[in-house]
Amino acid sequence: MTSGGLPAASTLAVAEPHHLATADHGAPEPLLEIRGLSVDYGDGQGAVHAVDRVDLVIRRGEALGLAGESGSGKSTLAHAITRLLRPPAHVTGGEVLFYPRRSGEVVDAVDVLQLTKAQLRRYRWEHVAVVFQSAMNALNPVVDIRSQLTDALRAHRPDMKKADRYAKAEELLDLVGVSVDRLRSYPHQLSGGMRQRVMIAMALALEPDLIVMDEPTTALDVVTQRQILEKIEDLRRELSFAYLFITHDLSLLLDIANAVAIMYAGRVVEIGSSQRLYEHAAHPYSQGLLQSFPPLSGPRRTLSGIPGFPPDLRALPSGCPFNPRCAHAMDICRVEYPPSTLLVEPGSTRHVVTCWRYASGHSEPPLVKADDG
Amino acid sequence: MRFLARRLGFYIVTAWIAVTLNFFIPRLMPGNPVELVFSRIRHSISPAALHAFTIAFGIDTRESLIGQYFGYLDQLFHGNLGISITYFPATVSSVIRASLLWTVGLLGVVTVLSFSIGTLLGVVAANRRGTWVDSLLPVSTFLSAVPYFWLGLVVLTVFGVDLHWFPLSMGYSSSLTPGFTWSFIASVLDHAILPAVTIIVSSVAGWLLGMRNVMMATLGEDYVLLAEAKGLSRMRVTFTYAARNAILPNMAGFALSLGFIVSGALLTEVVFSYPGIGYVLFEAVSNEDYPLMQGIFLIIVIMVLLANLGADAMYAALDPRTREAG
Amino acid sequence: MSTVAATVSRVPQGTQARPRGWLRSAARSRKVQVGFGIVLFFVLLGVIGPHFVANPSATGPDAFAPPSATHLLGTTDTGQDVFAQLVDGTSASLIVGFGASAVAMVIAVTFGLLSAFLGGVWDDILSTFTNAILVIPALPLVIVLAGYLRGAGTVVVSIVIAVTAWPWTARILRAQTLSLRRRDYVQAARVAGESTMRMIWFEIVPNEIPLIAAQFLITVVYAILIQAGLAFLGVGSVTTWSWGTMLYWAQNAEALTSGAWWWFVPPGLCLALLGTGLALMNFGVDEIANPRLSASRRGSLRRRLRLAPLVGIGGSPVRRSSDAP
Repeated sequence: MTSGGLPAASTLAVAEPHHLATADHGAPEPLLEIRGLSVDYGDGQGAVHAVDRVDLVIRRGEALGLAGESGSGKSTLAHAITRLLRPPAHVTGGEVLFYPRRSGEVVDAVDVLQLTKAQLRRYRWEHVAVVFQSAMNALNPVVDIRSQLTDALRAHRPDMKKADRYAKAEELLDLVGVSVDRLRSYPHQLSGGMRQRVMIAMALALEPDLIVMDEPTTALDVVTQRQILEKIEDLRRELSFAYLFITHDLSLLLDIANAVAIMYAGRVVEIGSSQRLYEHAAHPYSQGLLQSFPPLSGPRRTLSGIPGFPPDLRALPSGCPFNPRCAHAMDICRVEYPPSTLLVEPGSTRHVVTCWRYASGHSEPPLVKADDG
Repeated sequence: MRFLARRLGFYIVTAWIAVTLNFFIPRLMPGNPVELVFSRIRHSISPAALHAFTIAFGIDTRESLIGQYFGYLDQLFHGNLGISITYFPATVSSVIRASLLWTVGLLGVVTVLSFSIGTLLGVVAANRRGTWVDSLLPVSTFLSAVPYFWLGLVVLTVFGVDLHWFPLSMGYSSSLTPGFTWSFIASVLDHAILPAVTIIVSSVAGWLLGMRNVMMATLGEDYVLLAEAKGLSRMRVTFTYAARNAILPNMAGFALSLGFIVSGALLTEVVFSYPGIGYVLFEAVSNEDYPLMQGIFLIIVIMVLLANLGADAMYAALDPRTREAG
Repeated sequence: MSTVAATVSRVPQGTQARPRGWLRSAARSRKVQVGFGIVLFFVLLGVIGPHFVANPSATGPDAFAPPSATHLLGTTDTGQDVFAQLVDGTSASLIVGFGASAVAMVIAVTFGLLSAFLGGVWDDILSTFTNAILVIPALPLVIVLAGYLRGAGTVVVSIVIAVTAWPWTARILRAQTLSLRRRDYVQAARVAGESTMRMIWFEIVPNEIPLIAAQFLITVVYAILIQAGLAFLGVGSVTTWSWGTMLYWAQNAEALTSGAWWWFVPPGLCLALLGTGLALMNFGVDEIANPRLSASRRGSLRRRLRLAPLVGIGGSPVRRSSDAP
């Protein structure tokens, strides 16, 4: 994989990946590192902080999950790292560092947010592809599948011959398990599952390093959802891309992702390996989310859900924004935003939570045992 | 193709409704003024023409209403629209035939130009929203509220009367004989420019505003966002993804807009004494020439329906979803 | 005549059941304020103005006199005062515009609601008729109708114009009614055993009022322009002063070749200005009645953030309404 003409941003201070943001240690090298990223909707007094000082690292070949309720900022985050935000949304701070690999060597990172328009066009799809939630809305209704599968090739590989592009389109459809004679079909002629497979095929066209998937299976029925998820996982093993999988369905993430980050009111409140979160979700919100969905596999749990409503970002409560819904809320939770705490670091697994219950000097809940993991 | 067949069916029904309206209007009006006209001409036309006249307007005939109706339809199918009073004893069909080409030629070219320019400007306006281009919108609103014929008067005064750049009236110079000569074609173009500019300026704002509105909504669609995420060029995102979809509702609105443009163009012809259907209609109104008025009404309806069918065919070509059932 | 197609509201789909406060939000819209100012000016001019100007039909010795202190907008070929005609003709345009539009709205509501509520074959017939009248060019039809009613007065002209002005609104109202009928609260009313008439008057119509208001405004523009066109052609009464008849007489007296711009420029400007005022109000009201138009602006905030509860008690994932099943 080439870096596609990206400039090496040697001027950018490239430090070690932020220690609290990483889920794994000594694991593959970082691919995309989000540092202190903030996104506002609107300006001045009425501005809404949809994403607030988020740190996150996606490693090469990793399946990272991002979970949260609607309005938690997870889709905004996805749009911010692909620079697809539309006014009134805009980035107010932070960096999105991309670590290109040139002939196997890691070279200097570039800040995606600083790329010029031309650089950005080259960076897009070549390195980071996107799969949107509703394939019906994300496919151009008046253009056939083949043209939509190949136009990224046309834009990024100007030397490629037409016949080769078409051959590649066939190969891609085959890869995701859609019959090749669908190439000349239009989106409305395909079923929902097929459309989503086409979306994934499209994302694979340039063999990107990372695919951002914004609720790719939410609109599908459970059986189709299952098939698509398995397909994605197979393809990841085969083609070794990383993906960021965004959904409100935490139990689904625990099933498919290596690591999971939980967002609430624009902040990442907990991050850890799927295994660790499944067994010992620490944040009261994560625990609530887990109990809102039946697990796709494994033993059944009683569903309880989270009381109350998602927060109104225009009028967040002071302190920890989750405090009005939290069964464990303490006085300090209503006053000050909690610090992040590294819960456990046995071997290669990190588990970080942003909650007063785990902050040093405050009572350690009995739920977490440090030797677990 | 079912889409086009359905549209065709609808236009046939519409044509039938127009024909039926045409038949009943003289009969439903209080104090039928055609009787006066009838008494003026009854002794100077052939018995066949007299019969056609009586069943078309329901005057001095013993035939039943149904009989009159079918008699009237029969006349229409044979292209017989009656006798013009203004150009007596010429038939309505021959009067219309002489003027139709002028109107179709002018309007055809002008409508296509206006639609293309307006749509393109709408795309630009949507792409450049939030810049100075937005300040053109109040101007467009004002322009779309200006009556065509009044703009024609102003344009004629400035460029015809004051500046002497263009001729004041007619479709070609009266010193020339119509034919395929350069001087004649040049004269026709010279005479067509002011009416054309008038119609384009008046109608372009409507297309612009319509396209801008739809385009703004389309630019927020996921497929446009995805095209951007693919790193496609701005031109491709704008045209193949956004504009290609945004143009569809605008084309569907063509039917409605065409009625406005035709109406405006008819009045514009009057201002420029352009030898088209509009000017003939004006003369028919001035001379209480009811057969001609009604004949022109029918012809205009047919022309508009044909134009709509053309627009539908374009629509079907642009939108694959129409090619299936539904 | 002019293209108002673009300003006609498109059929809204995602409209919420709007609270009655739409008038208040409309009054806050800058477009509505400016538009209302313009329209109010002309209404006052039409109502009060005629009492302060000379007799518009009185001839005088100065023919084709340019604007001066005695004749603010000059005179006609027979020495009539153009300003007096302009002021006196205002009311004719306004009466025809508002009158025709009001009648058109009554026809449109009738056709739209009947079509939506009767359904089946009746809906097909009514819709086809509505669409057919929509496609038939209005001006030639109005000319034929008015041609038979020689010297027709203001009221007759209004009715004739109304007969061609209703279909677009009827179409929009039909679609809106069909969508409203599927809403929860209407369904609930139905289950509760409310009669159809009661449902129409208390559940459906109140929700369509902003839409009807927007359509009413744009239909006024349409009617005023058609009236001007008719008067310009000399259809109807040419002795009733209106902006259109002024243009008719100006054209007949060859005001153009005489260079008497003061005769024909003011009525056209008034037509365009009044039309702009009404169109601005229409835009403003439309943005409230039809949220899709304002989606690209500030209204997007709530929509984008989708602050709806997703995980409720024992919640199941809520799918976005935009997902195709």
